[in-house]
Amino acid sequence: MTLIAVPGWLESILPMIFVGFAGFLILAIGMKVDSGKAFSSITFVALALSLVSVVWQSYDPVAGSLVTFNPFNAYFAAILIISSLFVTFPALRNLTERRDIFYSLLLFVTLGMLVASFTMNLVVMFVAFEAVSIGTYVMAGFHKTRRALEASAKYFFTGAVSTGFIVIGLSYYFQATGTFDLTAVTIVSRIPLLTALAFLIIGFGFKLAIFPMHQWAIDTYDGSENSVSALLSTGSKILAFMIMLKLFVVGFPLLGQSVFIFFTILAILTMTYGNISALSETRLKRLLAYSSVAQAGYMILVFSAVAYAQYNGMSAGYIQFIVAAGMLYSLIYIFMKGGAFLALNSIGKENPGLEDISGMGTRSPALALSFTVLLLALAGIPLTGGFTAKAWLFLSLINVKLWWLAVIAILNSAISVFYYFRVISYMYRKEPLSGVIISTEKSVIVPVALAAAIVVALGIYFYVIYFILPFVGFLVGG
Amino acid sequence: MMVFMVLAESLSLLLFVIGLYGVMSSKVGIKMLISIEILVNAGVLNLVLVAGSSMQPIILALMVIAISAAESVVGLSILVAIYRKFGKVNISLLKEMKE
Amino acid sequence: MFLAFIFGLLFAISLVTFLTGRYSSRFAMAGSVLILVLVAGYLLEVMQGYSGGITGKYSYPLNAEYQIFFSVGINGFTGPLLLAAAIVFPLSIYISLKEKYDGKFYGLMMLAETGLFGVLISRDMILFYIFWEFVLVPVFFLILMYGGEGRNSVALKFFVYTHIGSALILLAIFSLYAYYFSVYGIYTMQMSALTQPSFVSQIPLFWELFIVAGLMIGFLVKLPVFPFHAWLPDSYDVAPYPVTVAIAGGLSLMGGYGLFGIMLGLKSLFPALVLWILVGISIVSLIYFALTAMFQTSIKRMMAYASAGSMGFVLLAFAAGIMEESGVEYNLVLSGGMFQILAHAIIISLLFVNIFFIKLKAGTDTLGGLGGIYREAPVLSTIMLGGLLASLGLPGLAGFIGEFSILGGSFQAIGYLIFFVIFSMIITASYHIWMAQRTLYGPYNEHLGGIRDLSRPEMAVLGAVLILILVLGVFPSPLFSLFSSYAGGII
Repeated sequence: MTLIAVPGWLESILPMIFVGFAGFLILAIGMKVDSGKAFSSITFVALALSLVSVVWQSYDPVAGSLVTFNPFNAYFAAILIISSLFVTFPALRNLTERRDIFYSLLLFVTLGMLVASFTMNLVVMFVAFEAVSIGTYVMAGFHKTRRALEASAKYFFTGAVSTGFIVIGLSYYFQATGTFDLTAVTIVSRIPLLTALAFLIIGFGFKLAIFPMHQWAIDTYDGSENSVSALLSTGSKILAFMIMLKLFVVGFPLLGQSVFIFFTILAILTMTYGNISALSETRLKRLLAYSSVAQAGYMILVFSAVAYAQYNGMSAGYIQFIVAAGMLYSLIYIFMKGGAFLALNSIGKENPGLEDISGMGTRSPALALSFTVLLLALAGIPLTGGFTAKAWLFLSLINVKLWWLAVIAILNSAISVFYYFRVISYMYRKEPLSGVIISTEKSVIVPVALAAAIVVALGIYFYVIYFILPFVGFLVGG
Repeated sequence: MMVFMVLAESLSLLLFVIGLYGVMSSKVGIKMLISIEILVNAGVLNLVLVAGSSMQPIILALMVIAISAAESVVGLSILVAIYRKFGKVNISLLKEMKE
Repeated sequence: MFLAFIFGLLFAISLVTFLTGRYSSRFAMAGSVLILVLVAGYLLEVMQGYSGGITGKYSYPLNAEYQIFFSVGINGFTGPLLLAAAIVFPLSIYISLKEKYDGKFYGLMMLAETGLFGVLISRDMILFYIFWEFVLVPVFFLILMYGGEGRNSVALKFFVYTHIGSALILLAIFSLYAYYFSVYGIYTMQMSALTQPSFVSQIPLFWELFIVAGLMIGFLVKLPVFPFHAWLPDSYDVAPYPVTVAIAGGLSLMGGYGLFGIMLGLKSLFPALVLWILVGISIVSLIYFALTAMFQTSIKRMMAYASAGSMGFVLLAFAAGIMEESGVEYNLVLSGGMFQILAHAIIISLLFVNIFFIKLKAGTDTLGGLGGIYREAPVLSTIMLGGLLASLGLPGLAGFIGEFSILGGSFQAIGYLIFFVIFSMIITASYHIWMAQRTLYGPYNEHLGGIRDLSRPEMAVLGAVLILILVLGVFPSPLFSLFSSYAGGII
């Protein structure tokens, strides 16, 4: 249970040192000068260094339980750093005051994400998770417009309630298993564990925005500033996904059937609800928000498939494959969704509607092309990463003989094409329908284009999942 | 001992339900904050109850107390900002996005 | 290897086309002709002495440990289809030169051709599916950006409709893949492995139906046949003429390829009932499309329905061929079906190209607005008449060979239901002739003013295609033997 027993411990915590140090540094500089360029550059450099030190280090699989440095955790740490990295420069655009606070918040949120990634202990995970939550409450309302404050208030109250659910769920979890260490769950008593399951699904479900707990997400993504929405719907969501992955794949033995039933119902409802609500939505940010609800529905299919495989006694190979598909999905998801929200930065109007992007195809071809690629990816069209992600996910469902679930998911994905393509068809209208200015600044286009390029690369290298497969062994043995 | 545990856990569940009801029924921001405190403290109570001889839940309970204090601070400052903008802390005012 | 080279070259050309600006039309034209020459030369080389199976196979290992390959290859069926695709696209780019289009247009056209080539040459299921879906994207943008009235909703309809079909194909492919793993313990997406008879015969009934339903619905949407055709008339109508030619001539190959290139390998999966349903669908769509075509007022739309009608023959040939199981009729009807796919692609392209010229020169393409244009434009009218006669299946032209072999071969299997097929052929013939009589001959519609006939280069291009149709009609045996040795290799 000690931090320092790990050989090369300094190397292992280097990513967190970079991020935390830069956070305090920005606060210190911020007292003297107020230069957005300096803050964003420091943030960027710190995050980039942190990313490099996460990726390029040799992981010693033997580690304590409080902090566990292994490739599986590092994979998620890298994804979460990337999601912060993406919003670093775009956030500068609409930031007018107290930029130092914003950037140090971004860094501390990332620090929380990193800590949550590198642990298998629920206490540490909870604390890190709350650190991220509290940071993002502030970020959501940072711009202090009416819409941002509404977003922040809704986010805060649902988030706080979900904290209550998680705390009481954790207490029942301890009652059932006698430990908070996910790697050491052996003795189990069923009834408290079932209670814990219900509370924890609701608690983390709020953060992942799955169906009955999604309403805040729509309003919050809608009201917040674009880059904050991007962070909320990528980093914060993937964090919740990762915690759930650790919790429900490892932490609930003997309860496969209940987990399966819970998650299957939730997944079907979430996907269908998200897609059907998005069909009739005409405000762009709300449309993307509903789409991210639907995407969360696809993601939690991972849990139902894992639970199904577990209680049917399938070999670990199947489970590893499903988890790898989920990991791949979260990697591609951050680029698709983050890029799509950042693309809205170019529209010179708050709360843009579909008609406001008409003519983007002629006024800013590069941006329109990148945004189109991202929407194609969200719809799951081949040669984009979205197809890679969905294909492997659905394939892993069929692998464990959940073909009917795969049918529902694929039909949902086919419905979703309709609203993504509606956005695209507005973009390439010949005649602009409104006089909204569409910016062609490099600072807007570059992140979106970068996301699009990565998405295409991940789509062309379809078999990328086999890179991820070896990492899963650190979560699910066998 | 068994009876005590059942009674105490029922108490914490009751607190939880009270807190949840308070959050959902109230329209005033401050009342909602107080209800959330009750909600979280139900969890803390339960954590202490299930601890037995182990220290881990106690550590978590202390953490939760600290975190919920931090959360309240953030919540209050959001409410202050709302008050400055809207003139009231009534959450039902926040209807900007429902058009 | 050379096949992969052609494909890579085509892809490179299509990307470069986007950047060539005002030279893009000439660049795309040159590129597509170059591809045509390469494909023709390659096929002449490879198809000598073809006797079933796959030739020109090339596999590049992406990951040796997991048996992942980028593999391409052609067979006696996809080779000619590749050639047809390579003919159709230069034709459609040629007519696009008559109007003003920008670099994006030509880039998207070439990208569509790339996707089509990818579909035809892939020997790996997932590669096949990727290209199958990918073709839709450029066509969607072509309709969206260059289409006529109502292009936004039509493009959306086109995409969503065909995408839902494709999603079912994906499911079926995954089921095959997962079941292959549970039988052999190997993950593979190789078509040759997933369609080998010893594996296919082991699939249990439930998965069988699942796979057949998924693949068939996907292919029937693309073909299209009767209940799945809603996207077709609108898309053909709204798309600009070059794109219509590309969809009608090029993309219609995909549905046929799906049936004869993929489903034929899985033919032991079909229960008898499903085959009879397919026969029923094909007959209903033959008659339905023929009757619907009669009542169209625009020739473009009429020919769209005629195109869908010929696809009824393809499905009929497919179902009847599987019913025969083996023997002379099996070979005859399947080869006839494949011939029909190929002939239809070339004939329908010629027809749409002709209608484009009529629209260009006379300014209208409605039945009421035209009339007697033979007086002013004899060459154009004659070529148009040739195309129409080929389309209705006049002996001596390409359309006849396919339809006749299908009729002759399927009589054994479907018995007196053949009567309905002949009935539909009569309707088809009558509306073709009626249309020719209304627009090309009869009294001249004086509102049209003067019409210029085809210029010499135009005459040469259209005449070449007509001659090709004629050659295929009187001298079908080389192609026919390719098809029949491909079909024979499947047994």
